[in-house]
Amino acid sequence: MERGWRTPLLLVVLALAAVGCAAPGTSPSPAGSRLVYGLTLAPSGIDPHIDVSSELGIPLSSVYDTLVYRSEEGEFLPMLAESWDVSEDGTVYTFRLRRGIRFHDGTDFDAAAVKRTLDRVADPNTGSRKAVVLLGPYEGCRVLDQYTLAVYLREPFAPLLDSFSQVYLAPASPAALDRWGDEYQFHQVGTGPYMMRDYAPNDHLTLVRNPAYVPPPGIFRHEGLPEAGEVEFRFLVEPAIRLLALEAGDADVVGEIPPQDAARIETSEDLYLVPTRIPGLPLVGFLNTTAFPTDDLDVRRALVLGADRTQLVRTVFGDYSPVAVGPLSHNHTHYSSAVEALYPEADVQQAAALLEEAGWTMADDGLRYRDGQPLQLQAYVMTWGLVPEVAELLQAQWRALGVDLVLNEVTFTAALAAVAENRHNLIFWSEPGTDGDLLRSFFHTESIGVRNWSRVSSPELDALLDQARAEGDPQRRAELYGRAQTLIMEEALILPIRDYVNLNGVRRCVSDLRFDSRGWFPVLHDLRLSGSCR
Amino acid sequence: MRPAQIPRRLAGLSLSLLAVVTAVFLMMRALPGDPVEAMLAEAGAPPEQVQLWRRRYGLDRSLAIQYVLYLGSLARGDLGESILYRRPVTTLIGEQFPSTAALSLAAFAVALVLGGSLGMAGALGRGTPLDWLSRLLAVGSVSLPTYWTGILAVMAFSAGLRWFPASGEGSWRHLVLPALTLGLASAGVVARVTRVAVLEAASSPHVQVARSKGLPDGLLLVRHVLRNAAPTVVTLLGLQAGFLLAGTAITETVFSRRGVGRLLVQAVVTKDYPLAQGCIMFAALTYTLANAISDVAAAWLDPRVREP
Repeated sequence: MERGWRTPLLLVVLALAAVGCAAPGTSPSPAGSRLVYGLTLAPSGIDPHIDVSSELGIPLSSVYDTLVYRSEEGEFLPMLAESWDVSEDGTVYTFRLRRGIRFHDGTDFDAAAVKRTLDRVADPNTGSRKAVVLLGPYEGCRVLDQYTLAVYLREPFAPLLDSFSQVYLAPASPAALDRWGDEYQFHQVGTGPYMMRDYAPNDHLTLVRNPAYVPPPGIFRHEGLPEAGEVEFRFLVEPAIRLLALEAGDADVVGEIPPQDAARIETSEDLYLVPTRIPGLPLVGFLNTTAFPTDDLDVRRALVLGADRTQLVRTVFGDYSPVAVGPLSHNHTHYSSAVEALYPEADVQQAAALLEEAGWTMADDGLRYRDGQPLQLQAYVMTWGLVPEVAELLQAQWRALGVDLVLNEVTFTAALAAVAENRHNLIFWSEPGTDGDLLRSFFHTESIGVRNWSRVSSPELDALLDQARAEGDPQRRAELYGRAQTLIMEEALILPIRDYVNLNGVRRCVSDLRFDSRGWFPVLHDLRLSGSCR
Repeated sequence: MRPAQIPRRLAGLSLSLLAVVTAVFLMMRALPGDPVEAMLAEAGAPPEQVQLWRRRYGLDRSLAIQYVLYLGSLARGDLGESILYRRPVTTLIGEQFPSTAALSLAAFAVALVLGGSLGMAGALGRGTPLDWLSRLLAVGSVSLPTYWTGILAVMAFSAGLRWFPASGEGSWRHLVLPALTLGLASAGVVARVTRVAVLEAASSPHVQVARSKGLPDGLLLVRHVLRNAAPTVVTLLGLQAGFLLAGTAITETVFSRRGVGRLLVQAVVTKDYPLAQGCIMFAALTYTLANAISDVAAAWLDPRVREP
């Protein structure tokens, strides 16, 4: 968008002013080191032990410290746990906890508090949606002494440390859990650098600095207490408004800036851009292996080869997102570069040859047919994350190949209904996550009916994913996930599109904004303010 | 409306509410998909959990039983628990309603003042450039989508001039742009109807007679013309209440405000039955109430309506 809107805008302004619109002075500016952080989705609930969204973690990862901390290099560092051992068979994790830590309500942090948190997550009555999944084959835990805790598993589960580094399993004050019950989400009490002050659903959430915070060694770059005394989170759900809110000074940091607005930020004097790569499942299109005509491997391979993914990504997402090459993003710990060789670039000729071989011949109308049936695919398109734009461009690209892609724009629930009836050929999704076990929830036979939208059931792939889940040796795990990725691409189960990059717009008064290893969660502790923000 | 009419009115109101409740109940179920499955798929949870959740929300029972149970809990004033938010629907609506009420009332005032004065100006200065301008603005305001005018208002008055905040709530200043955006769309209709009503009233025989008796223009306008035009405008405003309720959903999204409109959109998208049913029923109640108020006001203003 260029400056062209200014003239008509001026007319509108004049017209409105003419009909009597008053113009008071400038906005009130409360003093102090206050930061306003724009969130892009209003979560339906923000109890970390129950709810799902990444947006809840953006504020709450500063309210809670976790047992272990995952560094940007993927290493696990002591945070609330001083040290830990894993039993030989991988089923018992023993954590020795730091002493002298207090929750925000003044109560002591100890092994009983961790047990109370895990019991809460595992209790079916709590209705945990995400945390309970992170616990995997959790059996129970036992307090060995005041500062030592053993966690028992039914079978080895290598992702457990990664799970314990996430806010969803962060220890909460037992006193607060008891006191607030179902209303705990409004009164959360952790041990982190910020304390929750208030939460008004759909409107705002405010954190204040924890004056008693003692940072664990070796995690933060900034010593002592965080600089911002108060951080207010607001929900800017409408993408078109995010940049405007930054420009208006309503917010100092806003995530998920649409790519077309990012260029304007880069030329702005008051703002700058912090693109953050989110590790996990990139934006991909799942190709259904059990519905005609994508049940044919040649067709699926032709579709992947016939899509010019570079053009797709550059057109829709600009220069900010890497083109995805497989089921894990380039910056994922378990990413395997072996997949890069499989579909190095678009090859329409080879794609056409594959389709010819499979019996799909081009007719006069520019579409391919076999036995009188057109090569038609049903795509289910949800309206988030520029997916409709991707789908439309893909439709045009595949059309040149003789493929008719039918786009059905639907809600997530309606898309899942189509999946349940096996009506889909293509469905788009992306998912953040730092452990390779993420692949299991998309490609394991057991995940059919949940998120295995390719509906793939491959004993070989299942075995790789099962072994990797149980494998204690990181090197060996990475190899197993590497083979799984190659297999997924050889079977053309997905069309990889782009590695997810969160474009954060930041006002110049804010510096040292960085994100943790998951990309979504800002390290508020390290953030600096030059004082001119508010 | 005479006191004797009240029971009949109330019976009619209950019947229409029951019709709304039933229609919404059936429509929500006719939408494709299952909210519990969607929730689990989003979290990547194993399928065993589905049954647990379905039982919790009574979704494992037959449609007829669900309907009867729902009516039963409605009779007790219980709107159920939202699947999405895991909290009572009445609490959620109660939390979000003040914002919607503030927005609707402010927009209503904008529509009344802006539309009313535009329409009057047009009628009194009939044929003059002022009339043309008022009609142009009236047509413009109804044809512009709320979403577009909202974003334009933010560009101009927040990002550009920095007069008002672009989003959120907290002070009257936060209310100005959303109320103008929403009110503007309604003002066009009000202006058009006011213009016609005032012209009609001005040309009625008794106004002609009063004018011929030498009544001053100001008194004539207030005592006769406006008095006669008001009932039409008030009835229209009652109908506009429905429009405002619908318009809040978009306005609340654009300006990142809380509100029942946004809650309803979320509920429908995620197929959160209890929440969607609760919001729509609440909207229907508000709408009926607004209409009843406008009827009473119109009757008070115009004795003819009071006749049986």
